Amino acid sequence: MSSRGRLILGIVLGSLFVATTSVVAYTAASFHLTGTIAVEVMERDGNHISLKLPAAVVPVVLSLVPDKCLREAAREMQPWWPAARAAIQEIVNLPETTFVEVEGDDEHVRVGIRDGHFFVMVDSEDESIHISFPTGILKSVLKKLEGVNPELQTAHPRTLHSSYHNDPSI
Amino acid sequence: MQRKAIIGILALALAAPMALAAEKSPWLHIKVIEGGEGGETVRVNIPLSLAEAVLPLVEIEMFHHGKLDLSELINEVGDMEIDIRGILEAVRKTGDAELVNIQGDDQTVRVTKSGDFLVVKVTDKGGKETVDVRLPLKVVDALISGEEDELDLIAGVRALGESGGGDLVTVQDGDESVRIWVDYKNSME
Repeated sequence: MSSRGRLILGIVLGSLFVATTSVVAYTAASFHLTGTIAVEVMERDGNHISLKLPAAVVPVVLSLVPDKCLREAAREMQPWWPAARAAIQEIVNLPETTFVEVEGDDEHVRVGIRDGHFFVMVDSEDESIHISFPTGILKSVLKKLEGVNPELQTAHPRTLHSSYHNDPSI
Repeated sequence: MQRKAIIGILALALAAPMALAAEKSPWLHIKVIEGGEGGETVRVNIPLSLAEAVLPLVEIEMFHHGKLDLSELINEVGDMEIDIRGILEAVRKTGDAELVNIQGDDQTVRVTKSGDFLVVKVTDKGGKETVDVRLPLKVVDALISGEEDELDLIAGVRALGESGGGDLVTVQDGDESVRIWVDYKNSME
């Protein structure tokens, strides 16, 4: 390949690289997601799994999920959508707290918010599972699901009937 | 030095409203201690603002727009007409007094009006189990402020937040206990 050809190829590949990273960076930045998603599983027999990801990857990962799957999830959640949206908008603004804590002889479960992260911790005799993610992720997922299913933005609560009332045998 | 002072004042000016907002936000707390071997302790902390935001959007059978429809329940009770509003109005007008006193074979039930509170006390004969309910009358008013056959839970939650906090329910049964209260802290500590 001539030096001119190499130059053109270099410019094209460079431009592609800049364009791709810019799109990814813009997508991540547009959701303003900071913090870390952490999943840690510690088994008493010695196995230890630790996964830490920057929250900024969430919008990128969401963009890779087929819209069909997201639409299905959004459709199933529709009756609860207004309540879920209101709850998430309140939760992201709450101060640090532990919403629920269950303490038993052999198990300790905690669910709450700390340092802007939603956490679930389960410590038992056999294993410890700690999961945390920035509360901003909830809003980001909300936005994405509303994006693929605009009906959700104007969804009204739908009356739900329990199986008890629907079951004619009861 | 001057710059540090300005930064300090700015930081205080920004932090103070946030701290005050956090302080003034009422939280509902529930603590359940299950006695006996292997008994669990459950702690729940819920901001009333969350309940107020979510309740109007939950629709389940008898529960619509934050209001609990009691018509079905009232129909089941029968033709007995009870004027709850009238009773409460009469209660409000009376001074502190014992309103109900039932001495049963195994337990005593007392309902009293004490200041701005309706107090219910249930005690079993052995003194092992006690139930105390202390409900601000403003909350009761708010609950029945809607239509005749419904309870307005949102208005009740709002009134609860404005009631200044305190114990609502305490149950003691041997080494088991339940406590439900409202205060302005986001944790139990």
